[in-house]
Amino acid sequence: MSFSFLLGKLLRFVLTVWAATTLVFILLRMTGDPVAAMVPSDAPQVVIDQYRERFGLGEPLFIQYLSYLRGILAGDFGISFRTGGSAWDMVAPRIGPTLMLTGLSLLLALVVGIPAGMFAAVHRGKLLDRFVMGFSVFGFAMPNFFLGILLILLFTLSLRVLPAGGFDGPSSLIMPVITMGMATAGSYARMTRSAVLEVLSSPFMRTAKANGVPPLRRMTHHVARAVLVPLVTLAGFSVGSMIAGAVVIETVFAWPGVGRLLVTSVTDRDLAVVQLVVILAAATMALSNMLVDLLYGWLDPRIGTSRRSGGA
Amino acid sequence: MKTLLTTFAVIATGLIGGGAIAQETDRPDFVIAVNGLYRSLEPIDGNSTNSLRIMSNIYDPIVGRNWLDDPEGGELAPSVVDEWEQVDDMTWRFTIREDVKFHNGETMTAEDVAFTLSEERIWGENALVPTGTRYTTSFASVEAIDDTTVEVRTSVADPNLPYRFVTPLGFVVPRDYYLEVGPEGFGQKPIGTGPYRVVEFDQSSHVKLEAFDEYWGGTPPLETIEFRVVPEFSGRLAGMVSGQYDVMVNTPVDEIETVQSYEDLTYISRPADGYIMLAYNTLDLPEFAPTPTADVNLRYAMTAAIDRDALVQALWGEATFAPAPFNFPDTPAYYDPDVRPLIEYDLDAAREYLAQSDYDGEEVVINVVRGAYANFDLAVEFVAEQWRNLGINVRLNIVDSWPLALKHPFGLLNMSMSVVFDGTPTRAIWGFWGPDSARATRADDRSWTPPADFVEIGEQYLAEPDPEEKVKLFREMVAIWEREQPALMLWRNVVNWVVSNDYEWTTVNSDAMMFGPGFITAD
Repeated sequence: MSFSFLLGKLLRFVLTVWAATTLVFILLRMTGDPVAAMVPSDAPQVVIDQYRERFGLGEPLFIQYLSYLRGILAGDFGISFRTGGSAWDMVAPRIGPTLMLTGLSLLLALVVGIPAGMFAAVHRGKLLDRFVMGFSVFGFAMPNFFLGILLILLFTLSLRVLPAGGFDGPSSLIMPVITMGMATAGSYARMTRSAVLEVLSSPFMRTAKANGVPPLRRMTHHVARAVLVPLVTLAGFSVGSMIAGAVVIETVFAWPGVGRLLVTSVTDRDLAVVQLVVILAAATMALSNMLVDLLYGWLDPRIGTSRRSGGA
Repeated sequence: MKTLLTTFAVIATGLIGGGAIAQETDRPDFVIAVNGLYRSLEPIDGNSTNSLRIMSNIYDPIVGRNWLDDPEGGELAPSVVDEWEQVDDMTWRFTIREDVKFHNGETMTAEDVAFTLSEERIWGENALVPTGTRYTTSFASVEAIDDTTVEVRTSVADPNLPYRFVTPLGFVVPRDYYLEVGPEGFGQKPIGTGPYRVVEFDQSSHVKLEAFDEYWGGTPPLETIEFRVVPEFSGRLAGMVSGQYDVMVNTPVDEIETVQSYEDLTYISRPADGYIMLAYNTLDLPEFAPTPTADVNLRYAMTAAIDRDALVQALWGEATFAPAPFNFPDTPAYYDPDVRPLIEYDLDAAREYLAQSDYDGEEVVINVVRGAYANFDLAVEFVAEQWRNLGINVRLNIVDSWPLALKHPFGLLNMSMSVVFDGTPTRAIWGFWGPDSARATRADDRSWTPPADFVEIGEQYLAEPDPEEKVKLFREMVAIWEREQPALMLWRNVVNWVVSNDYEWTTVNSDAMMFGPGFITAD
């Protein structure tokens, strides 16, 4: 892995985050005066002017933008209009709950999706395969807010065994994690099944079988390694869908994470907080894409060789 | 695999434990599911429906309202001030109680009360919370003249001044702490003298209050109160049914029967502090677009086309009513049950007004914030259809945030008008429609210019000390307002709650949810 390769990836990472930051900075200011969200609807213009001056919103847009970029480079992400404190202080305590939710959901997706896909491939065309694929399509097609509400109706309203929302203990994690994890598990199962089927029909698998390698060993030593590349690709994509999903799931289940914060911050036009959350989301996605690229080279050295020689 | 097993073990432990947060104390821990929280709990900066629910438990007003005997709270009652007197036409003196403690342990002083109402905090040129000026019109000076007395002088005679101090304007704040943290910081970690103190506040998830046992007004009946954000109605209801929450807010009208079908829950509905309306854009602003509603005859036609009584009955049943403009029962001295609106529902008259107007099929845009008020989205669909039937080309522009709605061009705009001020409709008729009001001054969404006769009579009204003369002048202002027809008044706002039958809770005609001594008991 060459230095120039890493430098290119790093540059792309920085450009992606900068582009997202710039876009959200401009869009937020094009969609109405943030002061209108801060003051009561009966506050007269003189009060609006006082607030605009207090928060530096009277400056020309370009000056505001330069000042914001300078702040970021110094590690200052701006002041929350709502609290008067730093935007980072608003966001930081909510990163943990969101990571817990998305991390456990990803874990659930992996431990359910990959084995299910492997079983379906091994039992191709049988009842088990159809069941797994049915579950996969269900998980993929069901809007997560709808599944979340169905779970609330079943486990809270009817059975009364789980809390409806908030974080009152580990039991509060069950429904949001299932809701978020199942959709991703469905995608993993489908991808794993098709990748395994492709590997199973490869000549080297026929050779391994002819050489008397036991079925379990064939799955763990040959198939599993070969399906890792498409699965890593899918995992990279699913980071994005999980960030988007967190906004919805945290709203449905009143989860105290970054997603809920983003919703309230957009509603209140708390510019610095929205911008910081978008920067973090963009950085997470860019970072996951970079990691996926690096993992390709490690999982299958032919990919790295091909890139260095100018191939696809 | 080890990680997986650990995770399952953690989840199973949670299941068995049920995630209960209750502690073993004599007083219950109380959880309220709310649709949202406002960004600040500073009394004036945070003055919104979502904060007003909470603030009466954190703060005490300078002057109280006798809520327990009168659900409208029309009668004044002692609070942290136990005596007040009018020294002369322009001067009032308030004597504070001496046993009132703030949540930080400091004793409330006359200086704190004076600062609460001060020029420095509210009505000066560089005031800390300038949004409070709408409560402080005519203030000339506020001063602590000794250890227990605060003197307020006004520029015009104001016989109703003490009424103003029952509003968020009167919620007493500790001067030194307030100046140390500033209004934004105070809004996140507020300190008051009320029965509960704030221990946690996170706008996107919850506010947690804890009993303040040094409360001057008695022992708070609840150990803790958590206002938890549960945006989805289904989540709130499920939590109520399962016993996770004790009270929830905002039941949509089409879900009331569902709520009432649960034996363990009680549905309560009350009139609240505001009036819901649609403001017409009466201004011809060619820089944005032609404004058909600048034609008064079109406004008359649109008002006459709406059967407000039928609309309100269909949406709310008997829970509220469609008032004649500014004829509000919560300002009793100015209320006359026999008053009818100038423009009543009359389809034939609506067609005539339309024919007399210059309207020629131009688009009339209605800016509406989705879910701004309960049932409002449904109501707007209905009125838009009525106007289409009349031949008016209306388009609903339903948006998800106030900044998107509060800007030109528009023909109509949703608005809510609070009357909470001083026991008179001054804030409604003058605060919302006077020459310094938002409707008259805001660059992005102003919608009318008060006529000269309205302003002239309004100034006489403000200066008039005689109650009967004041009512007469008020009626003249209302007549001019109706002549100009700058808004379509729809209904008195309604607030509703669902309460667990484990509690007896006294509610009031306000957004305020009061849980202090005397208001709630566990069955």
